[in-house]
Formats: sequence, C-alpha cells, structure tokens
Amino acid sequence: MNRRSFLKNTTASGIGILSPIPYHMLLDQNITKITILHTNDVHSRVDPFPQDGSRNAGRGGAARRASIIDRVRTAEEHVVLLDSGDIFQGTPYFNFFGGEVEIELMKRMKYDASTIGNHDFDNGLDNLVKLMKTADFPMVNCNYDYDDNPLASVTQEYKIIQKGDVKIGILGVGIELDGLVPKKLSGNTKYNNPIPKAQATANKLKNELGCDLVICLSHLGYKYKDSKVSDVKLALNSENIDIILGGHTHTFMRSPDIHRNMKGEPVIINQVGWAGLMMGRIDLKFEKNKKGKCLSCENLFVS
Amino acid sequence: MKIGKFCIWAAFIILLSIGCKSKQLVQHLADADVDYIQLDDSQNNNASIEDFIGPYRKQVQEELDGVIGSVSEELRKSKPNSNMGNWFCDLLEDSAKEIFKETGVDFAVQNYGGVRLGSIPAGEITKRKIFELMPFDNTLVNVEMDKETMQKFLDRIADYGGWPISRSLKFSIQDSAAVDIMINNQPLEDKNYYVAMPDYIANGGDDCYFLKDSKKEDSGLYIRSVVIEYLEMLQAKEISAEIDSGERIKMKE
Repeated sequence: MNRRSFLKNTTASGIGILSPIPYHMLLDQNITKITILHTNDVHSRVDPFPQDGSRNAGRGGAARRASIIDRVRTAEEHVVLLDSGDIFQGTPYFNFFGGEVEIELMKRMKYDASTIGNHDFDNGLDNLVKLMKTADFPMVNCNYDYDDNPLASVTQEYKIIQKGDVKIGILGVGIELDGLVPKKLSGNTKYNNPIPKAQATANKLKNELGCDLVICLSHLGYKYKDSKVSDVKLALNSENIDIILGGHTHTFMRSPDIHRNMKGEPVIINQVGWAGLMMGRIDLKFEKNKKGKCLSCENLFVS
Repeated sequence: MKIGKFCIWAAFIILLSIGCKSKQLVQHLADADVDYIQLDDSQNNNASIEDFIGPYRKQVQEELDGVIGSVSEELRKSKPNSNMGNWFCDLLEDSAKEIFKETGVDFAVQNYGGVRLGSIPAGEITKRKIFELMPFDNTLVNVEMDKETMQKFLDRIADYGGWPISRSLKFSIQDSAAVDIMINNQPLEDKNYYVAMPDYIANGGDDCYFLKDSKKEDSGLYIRSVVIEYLEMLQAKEISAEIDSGERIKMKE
C-alpha cells in the first residue's frame, strides 16, 4: 500500500492559515468522512491472472475485490463504489456468458454507479440493455444521445448519493465511438463533445441540486499527445467537477494527477490501470462550516 | 400602518436570518487521501463470491477443454509460408465466403503478429488452443481494394517477409515487393477485389495505412469465434480441415 496524502502541503499559503483548533478537537458532527472505492477497465477479469509466470500472474480477481470492499465497508460509514467503464471483454467469461457474470458480481459488491466504456457495447446494444436491466446500479453518461435508443432506459445523466450530510453528484462521460465501436454494436448511440455536456451537468449538480461534491466517471482516457479530448483536457476546461475517475487508457498512476480548473480550483484525476489488478481508494473529509470558513482545511481547498 | 410596516420588516428579517443560517453552513472539502490497494495474494477471497463464480468457472474450463477438431500433423508458424498459416487462412477464407456472401471474398489474410502460437501439436484441438492462438479481439472485415491498392497491400506483406494467406492467393517476393501475383489463378487485373482480414489491418494497423479509408464491411465477429465455429461445423460433419504445406509465397532472386 502506498498511501499518499497529497493535498496537504501543496501550497505554502495553505499552511499559513492552519487552523488554530487542532483537528481532533473539532466536533465530530462537523466532519463527514467519505470513502470512494473505484475500478476501471476490469475487462471481464473474474479470476486472478493464471499462474503462468507472466507479469500479472496470480494478481486481481473478483473474490479478492469483494473482500477488500467488505473490509472497507466494515471500517467506514460512508463508502461509495464506482467504476469507469469497460466492464466487459477480455476473458472467456464474457464470450461464454455475455456479461451476466460481471454484472452479477458488481451487484453483489454493491456498486453505486458505472459509466459506459467502448467495450461495453461489444455484445451489442440490446444485450447491454438486457444486462443493465438486471443491475441495481445505473450507468451514468451525459454525452451520448439515444433518440429511440433502448440504452436510454438503463442510463442516467447523473446520480445523486447522500452520504451523511454530504450530497454527492456523479456524472459520466464516454469516448468517441466512431472508428472504435462498430455501428452494428452501438446502434444509433450518438457521441457529443463531452466537455460542454459534462460542464452543463456539473453546473446543474452543484448550482441547482446542491451537491457538495461532483465526481465524473470518465472513459475518455487520461491524456493524449494529440488534441483528442481526455481527462486532463476536461479538468482544465471545466469547473464544478472535483474528481475525475478515469479509464480507457489503462493508466497505472503512482499518485493522482491534480490540475486547476477554469476557476483555479483543484481537480483530482485518478485511474487504476486495468483488469482489477488494483482498486483506488480516496478518503475525503468534509467540514460543515460557514462559507469560506473551514477550520480543518489545510490545503488548496481553502477558499 | 406602523404595525403593518413593522410586521413586514420583522418577517423580512426573520426570513433573511433563516435564509442566511441555512445558506451559511456549507461542506468544505478539507482533506483527501489516495491509496492504491493491490489485489495480490495478501488479500483474502470473499467466500460467497467464490461460491458464486465456482459453477461459471467450471463451465468455462469444461468449454475451453472441449475438442473442436483435430490436425493430422503438427502445425508450425513460419515465414514466408507455413502449414499453420495456410490452415488458418483457408479456414478464414471459407468462413468469410459464408459471412460476406453478397460481396464475395477473393482470399483471406492474417497478419503474422496476430497469430500467437509457434506450433500446434498433431492431434485434437481444443477451444482453448484457438483462444491461445488468437487472444486478440480482432473482428473479421471484408475490404474492397482496387488493383493499385492490392499491389500496395501485397508489397507491404512482401516487405514483412510474408504473412499467412489463403489458398486463392499466390505471389513471389522479389526485392521486398510482390511479383507474379495470382488471385484465383488469374493475374492481377484492373478490378475491385475483396479481402477478408482482421479489423486491425483493415483500419491501418501494421503500416497498412492505405487501407484506412477503403470501403469495408466489418462482420463484428471475432476471428477467433469465426474459426471456432467453422471448426465445430466441420467436426459436426465429421470433416477435418485440410492441411496444405504448399508454397503460396515464393522467394524470387
């Protein structure tokens, strides 16, 4: 485990306004701890990689993931479990059972939401809809259009979760499908530029619906050399999104990437490789206090 | 009047203070810690999840162990020709002709790098073998190409030292270029051809960028699945796929 407290000490000015009251002396009721667990690009890896001497031999596996989730849920009151897409494709489990094993596992682990990855179309639109109808968590996406498209019935633009005193808004964005997903599979799912769509959804979540935290589940990819839209581009060119949990590029991060958005506020980008080899855990502490006054804020988030 | 005015003011102030109170308290994101939890053998398995997976896992194992055909001799992969490449591409050509019935298929090509086994021993073939042979999720695509594109495409294959091709194509490699091209026993002519290949190549992979904008039809079917189904169909008819060790690509000085 490589635990990193990365927001502290990010600016000198942050340290200059250290709270005069020690953190532990704050009333408990003012502090809410939210624990986010997240995966991406699990790609039907139900079992650990086979013990064949290859690089990932013996690593991963749904049963391990479930036990980690259980352990965290036992220790923490407010846990949110999220996935950033490409649940499917990559092992015979998907070829033989068409995705029902993966979705049933996510149900049993009590995922709160996922987004749509390009490979989630791999057995066609109708199959995806059929599977998601059995799921008790939604796929969130705000940049695909589904006129007369059955996917509309199993996707949501966003999902709001209340954890203690904290209202969490979760939205999702998906990658350009042209050239990546055969038309036959994605049907009339239409891609729109994710940045304005995510922006509009985030604005709604923060300004109209009163969310304290906005998380974007993204299957755009971490970053690219060319001008292609990515998590970094989304972070830099938006506001009201606090955390981007990414996927698609199978990026193993050593620490989260933090960028400033258009308002100069920090956006945390995180991604955990692929195949369920690791899980991301983000522990957030919220302090309920007067606007602009945060006693335990020791970091960039001091406004 | 006075009382009325007072009441309005009082109500305003009360409302304002209520409003301020409810607006005043907000959630500040005070701290964030990130951790990456490794799923290695230091982690326990959740027993009920294991129980759920068990029957599926057993079925996958049994399915993969299922015999879908046999080969009378060892298949080996090599350049420019090999009995493995010939066997595989003949299966592809035959199944592609069924899948793309309307447009037709002249021959099938598989990029050398997409075939991941060096050898398949003589005897029974399991589904697992085909998964090992073709682990990539490439779909079967039928690409239309004119004479000029065909020459470019075969030159590219020649430059690579030869790729697995099906029986309906024959040519020679001379100075990294394709010469003496024969398609369905006819020399290359000025017309449109149809070539079945992995989507990876059809979309410009392995330096076949000139195919990127070609007219094409993607079956949406994995090559692996196509081959497995074709072998199963042959097995049901008690036919073994033929193995041809013939030279389809010749080296010319």
